[in-house]
Amino acid sequence: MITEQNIQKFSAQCKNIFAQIERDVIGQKDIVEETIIAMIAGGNVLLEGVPGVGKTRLVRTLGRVFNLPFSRIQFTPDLMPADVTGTNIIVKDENGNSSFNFQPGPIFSNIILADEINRATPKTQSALLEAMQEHTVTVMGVSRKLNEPFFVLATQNPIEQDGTYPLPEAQMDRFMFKLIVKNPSLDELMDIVNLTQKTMAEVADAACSGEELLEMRATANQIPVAQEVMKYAMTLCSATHPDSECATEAAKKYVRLGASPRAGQALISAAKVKALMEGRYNVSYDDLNQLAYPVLRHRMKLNFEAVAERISADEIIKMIIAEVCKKNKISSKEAEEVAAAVAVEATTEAGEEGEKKAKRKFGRK
Amino acid sequence: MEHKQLFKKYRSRLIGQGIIKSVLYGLIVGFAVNFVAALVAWFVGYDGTWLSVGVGVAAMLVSGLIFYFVKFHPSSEDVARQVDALGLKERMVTMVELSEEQSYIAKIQREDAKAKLATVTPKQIKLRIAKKVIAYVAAAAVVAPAMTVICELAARNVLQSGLELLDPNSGAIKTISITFEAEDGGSIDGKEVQVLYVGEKTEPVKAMADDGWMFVEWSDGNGDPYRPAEEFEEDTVYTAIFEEVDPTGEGDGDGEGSGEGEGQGEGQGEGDAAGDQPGEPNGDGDGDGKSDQSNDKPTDKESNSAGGQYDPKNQIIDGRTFYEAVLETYFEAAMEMIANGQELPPELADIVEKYFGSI
Repeated sequence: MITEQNIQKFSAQCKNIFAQIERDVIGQKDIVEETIIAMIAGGNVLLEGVPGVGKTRLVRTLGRVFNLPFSRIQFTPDLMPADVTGTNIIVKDENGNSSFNFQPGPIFSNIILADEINRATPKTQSALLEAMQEHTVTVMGVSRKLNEPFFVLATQNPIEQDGTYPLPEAQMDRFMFKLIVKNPSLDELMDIVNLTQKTMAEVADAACSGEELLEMRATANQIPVAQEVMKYAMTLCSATHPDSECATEAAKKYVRLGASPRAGQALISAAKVKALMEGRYNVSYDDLNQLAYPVLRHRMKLNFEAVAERISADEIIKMIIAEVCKKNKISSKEAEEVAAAVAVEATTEAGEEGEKKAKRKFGRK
Repeated sequence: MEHKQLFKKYRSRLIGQGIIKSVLYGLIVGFAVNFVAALVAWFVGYDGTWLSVGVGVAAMLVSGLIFYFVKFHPSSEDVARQVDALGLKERMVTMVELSEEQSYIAKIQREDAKAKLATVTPKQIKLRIAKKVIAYVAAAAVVAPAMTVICELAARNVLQSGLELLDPNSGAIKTISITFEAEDGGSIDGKEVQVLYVGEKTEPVKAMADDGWMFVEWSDGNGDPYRPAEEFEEDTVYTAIFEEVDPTGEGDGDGEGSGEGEGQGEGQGEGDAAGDQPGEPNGDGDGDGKSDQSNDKPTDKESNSAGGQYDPKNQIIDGRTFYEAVLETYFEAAMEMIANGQELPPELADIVEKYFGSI
């Protein structure tokens, strides 16, 4: 049962968490916010970005701020599943008898940093599947429960694709968010350099414990979602499928495979946390629209047309949001942007046509 | 229901907007129905201007009411949606949905929603009418009255109806009335009032003089008592004019009719003989006629009268046969039978009697 105290505690802890993270991570406010939302909602996060933008630092800082045991696994092509999950080793007792003893792997921690996850082979990547979804690890027929809260925060580099193994769909789907970490702005870059010139030490303090994080998750789960807002969220997920009853034109044109039901669950869980973080006690369309990008971008399999036209998943999501909003008569930033883009395109086309006509006319003269 | 009280001001505004929208949608339907009714009336050539207007107004009222109560009457959820659209981030919709719930989160959600509701005013809810709807109303407001005017003009025969345009002969559905009247001294043999479709021919009629009277002419100047089947374009009234025959057989000098040709020749020979029976085939009785006083030079006009002179045009039996040709035969046959002491058959006696009686 949620109480006034829970709400106040949630707000206070959120403020504290952000304040502590800001001490170590400069800029990347959206990424920080979305990562925290995912962690409170109980989801795993895949951070994608070029080297040196602070992905690993962010994850390390989160481990400290949440005061949780933290493991770092550097994924390489020769990493084996047992290196992740742990294995049974033969141990001799005092009497000389041998027995199997389970040696837990680095996954038996609360926060797992799976660095450059796409460098490991699919076999090793798959070792994470059970842990990410069920929060258990099964070795030699014995299932072992992982510590709660449990998160996998993975990173991957989108540039160097040689010798990498793209994550399978099943694993992608287990990440609540895929966040694109962009290069810092000029001001942020200056701040980063200034900070690291003084010290490389990470100074963030613990802001809350694992138990408090679980409490925050329980509090956020109580946030009500109006029926039509829920319907809108599910429509948004369903609209990514080219063959669903509410398929959008963008999905029909550019998507081969849409988002799974996990996307719907992730969208609602994350939206509840976001609403509460903003001091609201209900989920809004804006929450859903903003979270649709990290939730859906890695769950959609684009078709050849999208690749050929160099249309990104984010652009397709924007088109889908605009279309669904228009259909449901909901005003949204995306709908306005798409409408403006269409208008600009039409004006440009008209201008080009005019230029061509003028050229033809000039040529005749 | 707490939210109903909270939404009162906003609901009033939305009701006003709903009425405006219903009127606009009703106008579209009303004009559309008016247009269709006027179109149908114009097409079939029916005078249905007021009917189409009435049907259009009725359709507007009925559809306006239906639109209001089915589509535009704002429910609590509608009000909540409209208020949320002012930037309240679905607080109102959630509040309405949680109105019955007593949990702590529902209570603080309601408190939060109420606090945010105070930041917006009903005036911020703008009346949004799609440009399409305005365009439809404007188009309907031009087209439907125009069609009604066309219908009215067609009803007044200023314009052709649709059927007439498609098929000029289709005017057959229009009826006209032809009336044959008789003045004192005669009657009409045949249907006196005939209602016909345009293009249809009348039934033949004949002006029959009473005893002591004679047919003079029809009101259109036609001196032939028999009117064969004719076509008419419009309502017409023909009056048969009769004149009383002077029992003394003396002409009053006003007789219009005088024969020509045979009648003229014979008339001159015997014209002064008084007491001839009217209508004698040899042109007896011309002493009544004007021709006598005009030096026996009757004009064509005068020849139409039954002035007593023989005129083959006027001598008709059963409306078909010249009396002269038949009379000779019948008369000779009758005389022969009398000479032989035979009794005349009733038919022959009737013909001879008819002949003498009709001149």
